[in-house]
Amino acid sequence: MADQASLEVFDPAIFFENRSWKPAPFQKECWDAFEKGYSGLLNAPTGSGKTYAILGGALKHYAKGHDIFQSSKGLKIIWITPLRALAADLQLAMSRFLEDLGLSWKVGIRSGDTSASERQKQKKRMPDILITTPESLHLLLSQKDASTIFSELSSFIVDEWHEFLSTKRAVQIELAISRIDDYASHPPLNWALSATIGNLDEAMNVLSYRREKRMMVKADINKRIEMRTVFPEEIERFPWSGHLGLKLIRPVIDIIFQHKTVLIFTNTRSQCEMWYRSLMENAPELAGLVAMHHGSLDREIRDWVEAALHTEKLKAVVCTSSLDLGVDFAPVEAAMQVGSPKGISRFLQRAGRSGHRPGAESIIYFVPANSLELIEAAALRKAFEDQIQEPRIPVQGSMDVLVQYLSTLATGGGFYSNHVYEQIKRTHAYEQLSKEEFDWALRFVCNGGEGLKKYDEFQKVIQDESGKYVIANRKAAMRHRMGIGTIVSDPVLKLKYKKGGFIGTVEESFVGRLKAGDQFWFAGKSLRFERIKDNEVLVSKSNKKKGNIPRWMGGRMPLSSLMASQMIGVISQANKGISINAEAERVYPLLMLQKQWSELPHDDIFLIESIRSREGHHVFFYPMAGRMVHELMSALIAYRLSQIKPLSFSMAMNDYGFEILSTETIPLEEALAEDLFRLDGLDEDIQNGVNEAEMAKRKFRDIAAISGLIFQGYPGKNISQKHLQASGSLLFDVMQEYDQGNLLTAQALKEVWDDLFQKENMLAVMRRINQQKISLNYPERFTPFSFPIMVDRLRQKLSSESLEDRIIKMQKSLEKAAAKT
Amino acid sequence: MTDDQRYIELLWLEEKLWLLPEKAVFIPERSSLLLADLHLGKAGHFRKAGIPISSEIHHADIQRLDRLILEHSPKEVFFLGDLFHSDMNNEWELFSSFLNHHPTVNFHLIKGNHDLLPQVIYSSSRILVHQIYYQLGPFHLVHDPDDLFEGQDGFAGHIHPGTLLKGRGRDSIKLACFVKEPKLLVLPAFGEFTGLHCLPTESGRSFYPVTPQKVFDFAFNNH
Repeated sequence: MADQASLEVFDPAIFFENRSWKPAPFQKECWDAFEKGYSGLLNAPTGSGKTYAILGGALKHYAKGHDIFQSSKGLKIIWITPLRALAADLQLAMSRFLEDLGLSWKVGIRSGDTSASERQKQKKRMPDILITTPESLHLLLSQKDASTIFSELSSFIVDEWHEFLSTKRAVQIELAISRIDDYASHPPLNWALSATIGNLDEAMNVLSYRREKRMMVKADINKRIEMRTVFPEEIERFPWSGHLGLKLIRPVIDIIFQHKTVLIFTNTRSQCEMWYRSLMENAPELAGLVAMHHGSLDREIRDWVEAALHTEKLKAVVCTSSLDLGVDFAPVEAAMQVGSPKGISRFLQRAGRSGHRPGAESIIYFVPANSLELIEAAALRKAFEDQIQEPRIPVQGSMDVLVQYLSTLATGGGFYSNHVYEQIKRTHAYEQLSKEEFDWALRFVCNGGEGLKKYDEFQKVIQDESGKYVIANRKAAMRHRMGIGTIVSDPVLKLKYKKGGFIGTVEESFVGRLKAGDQFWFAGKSLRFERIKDNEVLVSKSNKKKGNIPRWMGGRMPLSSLMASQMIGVISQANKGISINAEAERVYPLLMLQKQWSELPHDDIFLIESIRSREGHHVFFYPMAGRMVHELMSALIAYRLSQIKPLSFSMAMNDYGFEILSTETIPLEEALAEDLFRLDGLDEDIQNGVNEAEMAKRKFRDIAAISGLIFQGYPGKNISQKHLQASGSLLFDVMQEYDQGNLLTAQALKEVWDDLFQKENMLAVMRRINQQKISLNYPERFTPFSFPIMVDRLRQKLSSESLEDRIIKMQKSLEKAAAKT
Repeated sequence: MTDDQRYIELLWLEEKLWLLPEKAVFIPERSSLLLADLHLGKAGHFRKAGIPISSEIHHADIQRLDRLILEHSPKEVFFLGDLFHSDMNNEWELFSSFLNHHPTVNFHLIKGNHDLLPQVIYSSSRILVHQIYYQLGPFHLVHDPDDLFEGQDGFAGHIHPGTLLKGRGRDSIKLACFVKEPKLLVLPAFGEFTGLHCLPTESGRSFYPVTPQKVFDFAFNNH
């Protein structure tokens, strides 16, 4: 028998023949590419059979050098997935495939959920295929026997690579690959599976960096997506986001009844809570059929919601990005996006969460939070018809990940410095890493940074007699293993009933504003704040109907620059009298009023509006570049204005533009004459206008956690851990003050510029403005574009309900004026 | 009180208190200097766990204490707990020799939750250790405010009080502060390598934020 088997030619097509299916062309292409020894990237949507394409290929590649039917020891395929939740389904699908092909291979899972006994089993004998996460893979690299685990590895696969690409988790994957290349007897093939993104070529090159043979395979299966915009009955010409689209609750309820199940995506957790509450109030018959899902809810509640989605028990789930990824729910017939998705990819991703029955198409409803967002709707439809998407920019040069990695290697059997430097340089993430930077990271883990004296008694990584770098002691090794990973959780407090029972988590800053007896909404429940005890927020049930909804940080998604340029496109067309689609047509009257009272900020024009009110002198600028860029730009402009005349300003912004307000006259004409948007002296002026250190301090928490300066996740494990607590901002201050050459604090500053302020985008916008004609207008009243920005500022200042009345009053008087013109 | 005065003078139980920008309280009539939560040795404790924090941060604290002693020549110095953080390390030696430089000053420690050194170590230094509290005239000196009994007036540490001052837009800054309630004065943490805990405003609670230059007396209503 054995002889006969060994003569058999291995062919993954048998799996298809057994089911009288036919392999798709892209599947055959993948098998071929693997057989010929190519690395690469497969661009295919979910549900297209991409797993069989890649797994079949990986098996074929292994079969070339081995008798695949003969059982042999050793890990042969690594399969990285971004979510633990996806692992079980994958394991099942793979096992079926292998069984059909007559292979007795074992598929194992290794993640944070894997039991100690299972890990022990794996230690004795690794499965043939291992499904794992970047974090668990690095934990394997931190084992003493790391060098032997990977000797037989033949393929290294990363699923959902687009989800990793612009995160530090991708850097971890790249580092693991560079290390495993050395451990494996032959360098394994690297393959990525990716959904469509704007930079697929780059995505492929990052994963198979320095692999000579690589190719891209495209499935050419375009899942049909239908976008349906929910139009408000009346288009407000003076839009504001105060009601967050809740005016459209009626049509939304109708849509829920039209479909088996609908996923309602909101942008923030507080918006999620608000929509859930409003659904319950307006459609009480949906009680028990609608659920909520967001990242601050207890894991058990979320698990329950997900299970109920599978079993068709729910008509709708109001959720946040917490359901962007994960296992597909077959009953979901439609997705819904409330408010601007801020990016094309995110919109498509969410659309793709619906229509997973065979032959079904994906449907996504867009619910604008205000009439201005119809511009975004028009831009989305255009972008998606033109099939363009945002790129995901890979992370490079992160010192925090490097510092963690060196400790990982030291823990896992040790390393020699020159060898590891060469290895690290083989990754895309660190291709630019200088020897000086590497040496700094090495010193940082060995003696804390500079001289030995300054850091006496320091213990982490030491050099043994042979010059090999190893971890100092068992305690240090244990502590390091607990901290491996780059996902840093928010500093949150647990929310519990006074009588017991965990509900979820809230941010400290929200709780800080509460007094005993205050009522607020969470998880759709009305709660009464009692007190904080041992880092837990104790609450009891309340019957009150009114109350706050916690605001969580991180709800501020940047507008993608691709989306921004699409929006300018829509406006530029409208300026020529053209409505490119139905959405543009509906928002056209608003745009025309803007044009009549002032001007439209289109391709060739940079619009500035100067308006006087009882509050003072308002100047509105419209770069149309997203809130984050506007935040930085407004600080710069305010600084430059204050150089001309020392004034005190207040600033406000949205995705379209920003406002600078002063009680006194702003020397605008003078500033424009002096070239307010000049590019020279930019860096210096920004630094003067922005308190970057304060921002960097907040950013430092993540970096400190990744580089092992803050321990998280094991509360109350032992007392000495408790004595090792310091906040990120404190560590930042100390290192800034006493360790000037510290590259981690330097990284925090860089991340503030790159991620928080999107400095590159801002520079691009500044260059654009320098080529546009500056148009300064003096409208008599607030315009459709300036009104929402001003309202946003008022909302920040005041939070009473009388504010809403005030805004509606202003809106009415502007409408009256508009009716006259 | 003039605007350029660096410290704040309070009258409590008919005694004059100076809230100093160095994050200490001086009671001139008693020639007593009070400070809390130095957390010396914390940097060393972190280094042993592989987190590089320079000892210089504690040197700066000790220098500040040294300047205070030279400026006010107190007879008594009271550490209201958490003087030395966790286990023994090299940084204790340094502090011990600093104490010897001030032979005319009596040093007292009211023990806090982080003061875990063996008694022999304190005994071999110039520090007099008190458990739980010490009575200074009408005042009880404790580490944790919870250790004060009903009706007692006292000074405490432990909390590391801070307050958030809001500026324009998203601009905001956290500052250490003294917190005064009718029967309690909480000192800011003296040690630089300590965090801040922001307390909510309550009626009868006053905040005195501290910068290296000056102690401020603010009426807060923007919380």
